[in-house]
Amino acid sequence: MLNVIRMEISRMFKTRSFYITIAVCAVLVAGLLYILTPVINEAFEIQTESAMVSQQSGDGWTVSMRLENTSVACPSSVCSSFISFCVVFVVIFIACFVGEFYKNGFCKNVIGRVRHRYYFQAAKAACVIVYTAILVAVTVAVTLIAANTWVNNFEFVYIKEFVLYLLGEYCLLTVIGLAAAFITELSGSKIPAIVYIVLCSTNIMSSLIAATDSKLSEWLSAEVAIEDYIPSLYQLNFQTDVPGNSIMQNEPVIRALVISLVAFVVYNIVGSVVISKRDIK
Amino acid sequence: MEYILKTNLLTKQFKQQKAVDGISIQIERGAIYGLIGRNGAGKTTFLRMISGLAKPTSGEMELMDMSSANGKINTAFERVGCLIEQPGIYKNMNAFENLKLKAMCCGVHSKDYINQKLALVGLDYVGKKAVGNFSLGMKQRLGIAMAMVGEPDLLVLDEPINGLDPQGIIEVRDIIQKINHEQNVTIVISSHILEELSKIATHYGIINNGKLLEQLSRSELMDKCAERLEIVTDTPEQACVVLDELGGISYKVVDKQTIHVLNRVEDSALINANLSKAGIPVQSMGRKNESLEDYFIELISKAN
Repeated sequence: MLNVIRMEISRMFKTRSFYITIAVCAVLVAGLLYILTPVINEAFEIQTESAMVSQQSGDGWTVSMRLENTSVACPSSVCSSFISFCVVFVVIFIACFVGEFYKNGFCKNVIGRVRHRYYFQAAKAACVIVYTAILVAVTVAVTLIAANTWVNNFEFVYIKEFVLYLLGEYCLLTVIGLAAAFITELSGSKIPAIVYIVLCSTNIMSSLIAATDSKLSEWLSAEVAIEDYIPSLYQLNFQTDVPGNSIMQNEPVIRALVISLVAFVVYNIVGSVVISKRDIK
Repeated sequence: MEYILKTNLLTKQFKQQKAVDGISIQIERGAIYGLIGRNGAGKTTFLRMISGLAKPTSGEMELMDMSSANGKINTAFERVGCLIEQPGIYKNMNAFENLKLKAMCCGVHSKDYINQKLALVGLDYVGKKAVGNFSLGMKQRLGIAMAMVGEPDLLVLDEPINGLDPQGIIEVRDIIQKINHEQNVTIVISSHILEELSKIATHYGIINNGKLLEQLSRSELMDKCAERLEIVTDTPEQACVVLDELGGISYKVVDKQTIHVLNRVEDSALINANLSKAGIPVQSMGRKNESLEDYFIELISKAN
């Protein structure tokens, strides 16, 4: 199995689209952050003004400390707006990468040469994990550097909460990549996976699922929220708040980790079964 | 006689159609086995099954003493290299990189090993040229090199010389013979170009409509296709008596009206005179010989 994983990881690093997708994502994020910097700065100034109004009404708060903290832009507040771009690039790259294995016919050379075909499923999962980690790391690094350069009052605070949030997002992105690999493998084409993520990104899928939730709730006479369990639609919302109040609730992150773990296991098991049973053409 | 591959009523069914219908085949170790059949006869499907790329619907396969009945055949597939239809290569990578990926999968990490494989197929000069820019002949040779990575005992080649120019055909033929003679690799090769196949194959299997019509060795085929005298008469048993009296004639009664004289073909006048003297009516007498192509077409026609 390790040989197969090594083969696919090596192929991934030799693929041009690996570098192109990461570079484009980084440039896009940096560019958007640059364009949105005035908006971000203005948002934090409004918070500061609100705090100053509170001071004047004499409500007895320790205003100076409050003022200092409400004017801070932290990694989470900046990253949370941009990390969602990664999902599009993860899906595009993984769909293309997995598709190439079959489209070029290279699978015929190797699939019969291993004892168990599920080794290839493991290799795909490894590639998704590595690619997503690198993409997220690059995106976050670019975002933080850009924010530190352009955003007023940007500080590296609430790091523990940020790491927790990032972990949740990374896990969700990984299973979305795995889903893209599965859809590509099942359909034999990269188009369905790309169409799916475009629908998710444009909120069309979310609207469809919400309508389904509504109908199901009506029929079952109980509240149904499928959206909360679909990795590509589940969203982690990170908001900074005043010190002393909860910043990032643990519950959404734990839920994201659980959803990701379940989806990871399901996709790998089903993917292994599919690849083991199918004839290679 | 050691067999590397034996199949027993191997069948592959797609919905209502049987692409491979109960094929029972035996391939000797060290042979070059030529699989002959028309388009759609089931050759590629059969080759996919023996390469581990497709699962049979029914039937059994024994590959290198590992049987599909006890589920151990996956171990045997590790010893099979295949080139099915188009070579499976990444066009944006060069030849070395493509072979390196396959070598990694097989647990081989030596650069020298990969260079040896390139030299085996005469591609040691290509350097960093992307495979997408290769000619068809070069791609086919790279496909053979790819199949040879991991030192397989059985090499399965599905129409490796299709679309090649005469020079390319000679090159591939030489590579196949070299692999078989120097490395004792058993080769199963399918082709439409029967003349080329007849130059290298040691055994033949003829497939039509998913069924195996005949299996024969080269010597058996030569016997069947060799020049002979065909005598058509209503009384073959009396004609046989005359041939026996002449002495030194070896012959075969093919059917109720036909006798093939296998030697002394040049003595047709003498044979005819003796038959006439004995009062045996001869409807026709003539020399016949067949190429592999003729034999194949005749066999298929009878089958249809």
